[in-house]
Amino acid sequence: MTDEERPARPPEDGGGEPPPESAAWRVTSNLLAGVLLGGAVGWGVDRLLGTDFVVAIGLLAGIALTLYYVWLRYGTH
Amino acid sequence: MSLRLLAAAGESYETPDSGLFWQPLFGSGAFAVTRPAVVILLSVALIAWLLVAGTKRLAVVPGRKQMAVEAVYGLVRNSVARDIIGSREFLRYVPLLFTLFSLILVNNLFGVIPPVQYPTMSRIGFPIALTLVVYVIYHVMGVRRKGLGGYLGGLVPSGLPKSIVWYVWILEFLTAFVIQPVTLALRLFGNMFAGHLILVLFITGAEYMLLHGDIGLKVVSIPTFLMAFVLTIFELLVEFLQAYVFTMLAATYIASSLAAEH
Repeated sequence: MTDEERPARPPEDGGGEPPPESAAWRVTSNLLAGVLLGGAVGWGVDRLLGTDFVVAIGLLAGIALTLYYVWLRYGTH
Repeated sequence: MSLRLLAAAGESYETPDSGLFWQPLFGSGAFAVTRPAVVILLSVALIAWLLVAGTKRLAVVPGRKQMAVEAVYGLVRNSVARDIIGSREFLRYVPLLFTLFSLILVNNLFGVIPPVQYPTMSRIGFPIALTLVVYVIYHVMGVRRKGLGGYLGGLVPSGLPKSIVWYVWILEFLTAFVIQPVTLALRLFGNMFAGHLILVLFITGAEYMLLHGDIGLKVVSIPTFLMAFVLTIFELLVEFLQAYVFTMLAATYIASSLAAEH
């Protein structure tokens, strides 16, 4: 069978859910976003309150929440 | 270490740094015509010539040139666009993806091809410009497909516990609007910048040791030249890979903007 004859994917699949490999790139971006988000919130709280430890809690909470979300989305089905 | 020996001997070797990449040919300041600007124009002319020459006499049984053009086009069309975006609507994105791939590939390969030997993408403005095109397209296509509310709401996948939906929305918003474009541009820039710097360091270092060092350094320069050769081969691989990754990720971002649901 030549390349022209063979359908690339089943026709009903044309809607374009990206292939599973692309999840790896997305998860990496998500984790990076989680660290930045948690760190930024913690840093902001530190600035408001004049403390210096909330940024560490924020970073850890951001990583934890993001890992939980990645697990929920990609790890449970 | 050998650099320190040279310094001790009173000779001076200037280690290449980021200043290496600023090469105005004429003019000065922000509007100077620089070496990468000329290189990218050269690449456009070269790609246009290759494509016109390769497709001038199209035949069912392709000649060598047509075969080469079709191989590159087929890679982008089938392995990237069709497999990632899906067979129903990938065709309209093939011109964009093929342009990105061929432009980045030729400009990357220029990093090691004499006499050009300057990877355009090691100046961050070029990857940023390409990323902006991709950025605008995948958001605009997503908004067109689903409407602004639908697109922004669709950032959160369904079936999550209600308690973390707000967090996931912020996270996915940050991912799609900040992290993805920034990493897309920085990945290409960083690979080309660092690769070129390493090659220049090894080659000019080896040359300096051979020409200006004492007998010990002259001997050491031989493995250094060998290493420069090995790294050049490795750099060729990285140059191809980065062009491929950039194109593949552009397709992935478009696909996830169009997807019914993330």
